[in-house]
Amino acid sequence: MGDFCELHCHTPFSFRHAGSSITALVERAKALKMTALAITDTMTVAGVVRFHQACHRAGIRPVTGCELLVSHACFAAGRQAQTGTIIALARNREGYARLCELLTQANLSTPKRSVIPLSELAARRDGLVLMLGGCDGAIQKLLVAGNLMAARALLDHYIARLGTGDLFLDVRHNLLPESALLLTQSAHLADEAGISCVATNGVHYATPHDYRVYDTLSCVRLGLRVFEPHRERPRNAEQYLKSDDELRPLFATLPQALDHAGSVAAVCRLDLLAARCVPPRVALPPGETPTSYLRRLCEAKLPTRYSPEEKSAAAARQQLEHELSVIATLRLEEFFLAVWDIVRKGHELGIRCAGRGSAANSIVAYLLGITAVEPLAHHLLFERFLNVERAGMPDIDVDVQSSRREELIRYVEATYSPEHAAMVANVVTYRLRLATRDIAKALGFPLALVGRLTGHLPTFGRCADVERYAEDLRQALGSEAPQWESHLRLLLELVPRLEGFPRHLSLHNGGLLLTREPLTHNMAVRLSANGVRAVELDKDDVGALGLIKFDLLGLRAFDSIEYCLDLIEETEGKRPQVDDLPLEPPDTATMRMVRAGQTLACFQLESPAQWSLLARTQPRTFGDLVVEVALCRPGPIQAGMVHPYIGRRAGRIPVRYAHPRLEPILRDTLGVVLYQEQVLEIAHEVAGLSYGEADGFRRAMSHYRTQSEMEGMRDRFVAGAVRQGIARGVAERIFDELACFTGYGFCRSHAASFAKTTYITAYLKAHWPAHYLAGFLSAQGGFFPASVIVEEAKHLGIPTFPVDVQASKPFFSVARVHGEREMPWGIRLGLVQVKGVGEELATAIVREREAHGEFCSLADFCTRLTRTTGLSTALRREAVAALVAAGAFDAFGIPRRRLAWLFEERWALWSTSRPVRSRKSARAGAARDARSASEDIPVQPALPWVWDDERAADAPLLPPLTLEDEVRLDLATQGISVRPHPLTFLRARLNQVGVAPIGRLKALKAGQKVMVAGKVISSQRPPTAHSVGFLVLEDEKGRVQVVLPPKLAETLYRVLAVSRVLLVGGRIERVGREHVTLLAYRVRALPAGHLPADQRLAEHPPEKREAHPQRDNGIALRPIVAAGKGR
Amino acid sequence: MSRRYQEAITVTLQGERLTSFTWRGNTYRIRVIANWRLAARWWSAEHAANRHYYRVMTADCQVFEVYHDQVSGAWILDTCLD
Repeated sequence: MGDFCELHCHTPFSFRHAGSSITALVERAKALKMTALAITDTMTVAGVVRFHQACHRAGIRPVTGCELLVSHACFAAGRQAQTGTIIALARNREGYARLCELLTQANLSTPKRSVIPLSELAARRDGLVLMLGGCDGAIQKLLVAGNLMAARALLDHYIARLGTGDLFLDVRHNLLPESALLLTQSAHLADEAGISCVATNGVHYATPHDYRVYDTLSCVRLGLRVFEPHRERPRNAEQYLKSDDELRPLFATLPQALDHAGSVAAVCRLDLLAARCVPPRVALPPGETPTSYLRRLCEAKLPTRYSPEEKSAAAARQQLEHELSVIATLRLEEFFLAVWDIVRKGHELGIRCAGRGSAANSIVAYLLGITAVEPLAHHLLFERFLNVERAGMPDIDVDVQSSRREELIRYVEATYSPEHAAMVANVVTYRLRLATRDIAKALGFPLALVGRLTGHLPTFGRCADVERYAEDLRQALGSEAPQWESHLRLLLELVPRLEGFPRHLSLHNGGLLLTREPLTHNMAVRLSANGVRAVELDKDDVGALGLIKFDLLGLRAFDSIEYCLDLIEETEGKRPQVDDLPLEPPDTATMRMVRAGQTLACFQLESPAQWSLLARTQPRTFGDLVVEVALCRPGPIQAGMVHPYIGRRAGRIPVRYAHPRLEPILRDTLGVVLYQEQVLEIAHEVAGLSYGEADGFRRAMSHYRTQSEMEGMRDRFVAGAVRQGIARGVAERIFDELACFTGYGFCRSHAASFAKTTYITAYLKAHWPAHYLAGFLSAQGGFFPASVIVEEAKHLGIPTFPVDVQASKPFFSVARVHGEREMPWGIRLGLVQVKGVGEELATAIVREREAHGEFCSLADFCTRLTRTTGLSTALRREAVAALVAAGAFDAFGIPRRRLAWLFEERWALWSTSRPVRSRKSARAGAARDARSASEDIPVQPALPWVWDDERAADAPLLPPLTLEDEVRLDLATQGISVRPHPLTFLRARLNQVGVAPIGRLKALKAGQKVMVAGKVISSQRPPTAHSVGFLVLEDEKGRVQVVLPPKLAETLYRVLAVSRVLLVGGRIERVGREHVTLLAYRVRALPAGHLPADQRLAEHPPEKREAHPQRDNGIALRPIVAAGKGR
Repeated sequence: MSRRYQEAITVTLQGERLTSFTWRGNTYRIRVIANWRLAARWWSAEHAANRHYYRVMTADCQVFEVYHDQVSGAWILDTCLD
């Protein structure tokens, strides 16, 4: 038995260059009794962390390296061979850092096809063992071409640049026709040059069995079908991991090459995996240590948050000392300071941000302003976040206002310098659909068939499950199935073998990596597809290296709040301090609104499931809101926690505790285990585990896999409880209750952080409804489409105003409504709401209007815009056309059809002519305009027809738009309408056939049958609901949730394909005092099914247009004009 | 010039070493001068090839290429090279 180790081994991180997973390769190497195995992916070290982990598990030594693409300006090698591959293996940490630097430099300077110049490699070769690519490299190419002289010259060139130390020529015998000859020639060359040969097998897969996967993926990579030959495809199945015994006969003439491989592997010693986390270095004021600075910051805030007179102050001080000591033990001061700095900067820039997740359990995080919820009063448990026994990386996720997240990321990158900060990658692995698509294409299925095959697969399926869909795939092929049967079998064989293979790297959604050492000590940096600097590792890899990622996640609810506050500041002159609202007791008006279920647009409370939950639970305190947020989740629903809680809340089920010791822990959730913190405390109090053990117990409970593991935990728990003096039977009952919780539960601190945001949004909606809804609409978030929010505004009695070039801002704004009204503010639609109008153009319009006065005509608008925006003429034309169709010029008082006609006729002229009036007179004109609101203003006599819209005598007389036409145009151009709901136009007919308005359902008794009509604004079939479907219908008077029994839910998609407006027959179900849902027994599409008498309805269903807004994207004006002419 | 035959032959092996083959009634004593493997067309049931090729030279310096079909176990004389 020799000691050969494989030093050239590609893993799937070479991306479609390998046929076996990292685990398979490492385990095979272990089975072959290799003491070490190298990873040498092409131009990347993305797989090294997983490789190291797999090697640790298998108990073999990892050798870390990379196959580098090197360009060598060597005249003698000829023009064809100017780049070649060189294998670089890291001897030690420095070598690895150099390797990462080389890769980073190449990735950043030539992102498309990164190549390393030989001179760079020569400058950074310390700590690297180089193998000159006698196998895949330029030397071999020259030898294959028979150009021995050039090969020799190139080798000399390499040696002259790189020296002979740690330099080898790798040789290989892959049982190809030329292998024996190349081996002999390479040995000669090396001998002449005075360097040694190292044997490798150029491994791309673990066993010959995986050869097909490798060949197929090669075809995918090269864009070939399997029957098309290519010189980069493998010719035989010999590039698998071979043992010393298997290789000896092949290297009979050069046995020392095998031994060299073993000795090279022996000198490459590098362990990347870290035992503990290292936070980034934070800039400190002079004379401060991280510990003292953290303490000073916390102590400065302590008296402002807990006034010294109050009882809580002492408790707070005690908690602070405890937390600081834990943080000091774990040496995480700088981690906290780093997050503090990010959040502080966010607040300074006016960017709303707040910590979420378990960090809110910490008083340090609270005092630093990272989290907004006071931990003591809300029973938040620090040990859930950090404890001395917890070795893993702590996690503070910061939610940031979506629209300004980039700003904060840029600040962080600038603060820590690009060498220490980059985004974390997300490794995208092959999923069922993608794998099927790639492999089917490579197997030669025609594209049309590939589309049909993938169309029959679920979006998120696993590759390993493809066999389950075999029949679906056969069906997809239809009559062509028999002819493709053999290929289909191949497909079914290959697809599951791609399970877990990385396909490409993308960006993690918000993970920012900050490191103490330069990034390149641990990994290579690259540019993502959209030009963002990102590392090649994903979040788990980064954690395994002991580095800390900071999650900055975009949250649109924060945008809503900020936009709303901006609007309030604009109109009132000052910003309400919503962050300092007292939480207990909460604001009465706000809670009244929440209890009434008017929570549309309120963060975390807006889903239909929440409406009925709110109706049942009737929250009164902030704590109730926290429960509300935590309850309405797939986890608690699945674990069956919702009904016991509701029952106890309503007083139907008595609140009982299995043991008196549980009472203080479960009191505020009425005896139901709802939060992870409670599991922790129960394990601590009842079973007597330390908090560290208890946290381990909680995590084990969340991830438990087998019955036996569960039994082991039960024994531990019960034994502990018995020691505490609790009866065995009781302890077992408590354990069972915890077991059914298994990980679905929510972190109380997370729920509390979210609930605070919920409360702020609800507060704003209750007190500033117009401002809040306008802000919410601008933020473009939420569960429902914007049209539903506009309807909500109408229900609340908030006046809504259409988009208008004279008054609209780029986004939604509020407008004062004069006179004595309940709602003094209305909502004005923004210009960007019109499809085809971008933010840039909208801003330009508003800026022009504010700088030079209102527009006095369409002509005036067009010419002034031509001057001020940089948009191309075609784009501008489309945008202005959309504005005309949307009615944004209706303020000029010209009928829209006529205006559209004028626009079509005159655009060419308007878009090229310069404005004739001076700015001064334009302003005067605008002033007059405002007074008279008429187009008949004095204009330049020289070019009267340019300026005067109305005097165009040749414009045909077109009939005015009806209200129904206007709604239809609104929906088509903006997706929302401030005019009546589309159902209004059907109401008379609906009344005739006995359809009830939704608003009247509340007056009906439970069980009563009723027929309603409405627009579908949400349809769901949650996996937790046992194939029951949920719809929300909306008409001009209200919304109602419709429950569809499985049979109806099954066929709903067919009905929705016909129309999004439905006629539903159902029985009334009453929830709580106010809330009503409908249990459907019949669902029909409207108008196709029910109102055939109305011909116009059948021809122009106004709802249908909205159902397919994408078809109406390019609003052509000619049809509008033409329709008018036709009448 | 070379010529392809694709005819079945019988071979004698000493251990793993190929020493002679019999083709059309004649036995040739040979030594192996090169060998390689080919795996191709695995996607097609009929045409799949998984072969170990040997380039062999007879005592009178005739060169043949024969292969051992790894699936069926047959030995085939593929080519006679001049």
